[in-house]
Amino acid sequence: MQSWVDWLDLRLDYRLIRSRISNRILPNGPGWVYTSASCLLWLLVIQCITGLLLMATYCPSMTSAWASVHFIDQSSAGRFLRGIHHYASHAMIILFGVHVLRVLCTGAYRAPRELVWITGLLLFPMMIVWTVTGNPLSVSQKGIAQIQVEGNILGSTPVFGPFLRRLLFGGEDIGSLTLTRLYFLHVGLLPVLVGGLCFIHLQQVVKHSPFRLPDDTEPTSTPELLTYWPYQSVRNMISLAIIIGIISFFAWKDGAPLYAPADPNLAFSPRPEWYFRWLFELRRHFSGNTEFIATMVIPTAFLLGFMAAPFVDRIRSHWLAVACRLVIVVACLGGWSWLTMISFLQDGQDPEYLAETAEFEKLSARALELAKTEPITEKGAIELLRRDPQTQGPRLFARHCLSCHSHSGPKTPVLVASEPSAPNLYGIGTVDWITGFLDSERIASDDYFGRTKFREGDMVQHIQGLFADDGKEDSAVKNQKIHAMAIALAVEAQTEGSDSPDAAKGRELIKSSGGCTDCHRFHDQGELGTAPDLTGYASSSWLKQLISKPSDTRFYGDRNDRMPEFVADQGHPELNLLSSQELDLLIQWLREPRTAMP
Amino acid sequence: MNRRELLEWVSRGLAAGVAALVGLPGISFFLGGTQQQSSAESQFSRLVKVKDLIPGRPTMVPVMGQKLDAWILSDRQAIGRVWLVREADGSLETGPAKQTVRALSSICPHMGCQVQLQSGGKNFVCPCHRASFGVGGQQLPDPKNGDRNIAPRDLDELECRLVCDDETGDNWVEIKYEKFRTGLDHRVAGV
Ligand code: FES
Repeated sequence: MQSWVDWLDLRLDYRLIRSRISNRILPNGPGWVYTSASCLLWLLVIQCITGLLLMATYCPSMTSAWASVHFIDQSSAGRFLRGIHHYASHAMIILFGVHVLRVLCTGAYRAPRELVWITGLLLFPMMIVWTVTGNPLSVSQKGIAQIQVEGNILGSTPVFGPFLRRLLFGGEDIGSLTLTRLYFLHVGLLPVLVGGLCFIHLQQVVKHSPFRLPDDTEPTSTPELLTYWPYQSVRNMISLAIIIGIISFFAWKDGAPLYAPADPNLAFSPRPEWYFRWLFELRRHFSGNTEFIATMVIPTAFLLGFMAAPFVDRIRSHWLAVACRLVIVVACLGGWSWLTMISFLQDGQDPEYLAETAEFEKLSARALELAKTEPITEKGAIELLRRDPQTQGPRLFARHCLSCHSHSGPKTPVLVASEPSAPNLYGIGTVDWITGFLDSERIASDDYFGRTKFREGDMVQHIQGLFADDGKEDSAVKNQKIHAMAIALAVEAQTEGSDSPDAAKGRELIKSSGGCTDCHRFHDQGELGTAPDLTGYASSSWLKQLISKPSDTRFYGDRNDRMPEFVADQGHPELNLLSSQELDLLIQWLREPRTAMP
Repeated sequence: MNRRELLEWVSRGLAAGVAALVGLPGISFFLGGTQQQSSAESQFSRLVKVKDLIPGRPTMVPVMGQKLDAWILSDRQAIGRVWLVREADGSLETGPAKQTVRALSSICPHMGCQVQLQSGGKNFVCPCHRASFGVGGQQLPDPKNGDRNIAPRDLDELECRLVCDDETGDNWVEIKYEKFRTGLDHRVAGV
C-alpha cells in the first residue's frame, strides 16, 4: 500500500500540494469568520453534483421541460435533490454577500492579493447569471415571465442591447432556441467560466498565504500559528453542516417550487427574485431611455469601484482606512436593505398585485393537481390548464360573455358584469335557475330578462299571467307546478338525472296548461321560429348551438337581442370568436361551475 | 530573421490557423443561429367583424399566423395580440366603412409585458410595473410614482382598416401586425 502511494506521489507530487494547502496559517489564527469561503466552495461543489444528477432526467425543450421537472419531483429522492439545488443557490448568494463584506471589512484584498479580490468580484455577477439562467428552466409561467423581462432589460442597453437580447433569446422572442440557450449558459458556459475563475482565485489564495510545517510541539497557546487543517477545517465543516442542514430541511419539507406551466395567454406580473429587488426598485426611478442607468450603469460602476479598492486603499491599518471601509460596508448593506424593503412593502400594499399573486398560486396548485391525474401529452404541460374547464371557463366567460352576462352565485369566483344586460348565467340549466326563471317576480329582474329587450315581452307577461299571485289559485299549488316544470326542463338539460314523477308531470304542464308550446317547441309539439326550442333545453349540445348562432331559427331568429354569433363560420374556424375547443370548455364550466374551483 | 525566429513564427502561425479554423465558424454559428419568422407581419390580417366589437369596450384579439420558431413550424399560432377599441358611437353593422376602430398593440412599451384591461374596462394597465394607459393608448399619470408613467411612450397603435366582405356584407377589422422595440421613447420597428 505504502509503496503505491509513494509511487503516485513521485509522479504527482500530491503530498507537497496537499501540505501547502493544509498547513497554511491564517492571520490571527483560525476563526469562524473565515468559514464563509469554504462553505461557498463546498456549496458550489454540491450544486455541480446535484445539477449533474438533475441533468440526467431534465429535458430542455419548451414542451417537455415542465413535464420532466414534474417527473423529477415524482421520486422523493429527485424532489429532494432539486430542492437542495434550489435552496443552495439562494444560500450561495447570501454567503457570497457575507464573504465579500468580510473581505472588505478586514481589508484582505490588499497587495499582493489583488487578483484574489478581482476574480472573487467577477464571480459574483457570474453566479447571479447562473441562477438567473436556472430559474426559467422549468418553463413555468413565473420563470419565463422573469427571463422575458430580464431579456428586455438587456435589450434596452444602448448599442449592443438588441444584439445581446437576440443572442440570449435565440431570436426576436422567447421560443425553442431560448431554452436551449439558457440551458447552454447554465450547464455549459457558466460552469466553465466559474471553474476557471475559481481556479485562479484559489491558486492565488494558497500562493499568498504563509504556511508552517507542523512539528511535534503544537503551539496551542499561540493560535496564530495553528495550521488550516484541522483547526480551521473543523470550523468550516461545522458551518457547512449547519447550512446544509437548513437547506435539506426546506428541500425535504417543501421541495423546490414548481409553478404553473408557462402559457403566453396568461398575464403575469413577474417580480425578480429577492436579490434583484433592489434593482427592481431602483429602476422605478428611471424611465425610458435612461433606464439602463439603473439596470446596467449603476451595478457595473459598483463592481468596478469595488475592484479598484486594492489600488486605492494602500494605507495599512490606519484608522481612517478602517473607518472608510466600515462606512462603505454599512452604506452598501443599508442601501440594499432599504431598497429591497421598499419594494416588498409596496407590493404588500398593492391589492391588485396581491390578488394576482394569490390567483397565480392557485393556478400553480391546480396545475400540480391536474398533473396527478391527467396525462401530459406530446403537446406539453401547457395543455393541462388549457384543457381544464375550471381554469378556462371563467377566463373565457370574462373575455366573451362578461360584457353582458354576469356569473355570480355561491362558491364560484364572482364574475359580475359592470353593466349587465342579459341573464346571470350562474347555474344555468339547474332546477334552481329554472325555478327562478319561472318565478313571476324574478323573471323581469336583473338576474333574468330585466335588462334585455324581452323585459316586457310575451314570455315575461306569460309567466306573470300564469304564476303571479292573483288570489285565485293557492300559491303552494303554483309553486308545485313551477317545481315540476323546472324539474322537467332540468331533465332536458341533463342536470337532473332520474326521470321522476315530478318530471313527467312537468312535461305534461309544458305541453298543456302551461301554454309553453304555444310559442316554444317541446319534443313533438309546438313550432320553431317563435321562441327557443325547449327540447334538450340547456343541455351541452343545445348551449353549443345557441352560443354558436343565437339567431338560428331553433333559438331567437331575428328576435335575437344583442348576442353575437360566436361560431358564425364553420368553414373558417380562424375567423370565429370561439374555437370549438373553447366552446366546449366554456359550456362544461357553465354547466358545472361548482365542482371544486381551483 | 534567423532560423530560430523563423520556426517560432511558423509555429505561432500554424497554431493561429488551427484556432481560426475552429473558432471562426464557432463564432459565426453562435452569433448567427437565430431565426424566427411569422407570416402575419407586414401584411393585413383579418381579425373580427366590427359588429362583434362592443362600442367603447376594448377587446383583446389574437393575431393568428404561421410561425417558424427555429426548427418548429407551427400553423395557426398566436403571433401577437392586439386591443381593438371601437369608438363608442360608431354604428357600423354593414355598409360602407368609416374608421371607427383603433388597434393597439398589447405589448407594453416599457419592457414588453402584455397590457391588460383594468377592472371596469376604463383603462389599460400593465401587470409588470403598473404602467397605465387610457383606452386610446395614451399614457396616464401614475399617482404612486409621483405622477410619472414608467412607460417611455404611449401604446403602439397599429395600422388598421375596415373591409367590407362582398359576399356577406359584413365589415371586418383588418390590421397590419408589427412589433416595436421596447424601452424607447419613440417607435423603432423590430425588437
Ligand atoms: S413592462 Fe409594462 S410596465 Fe414594465
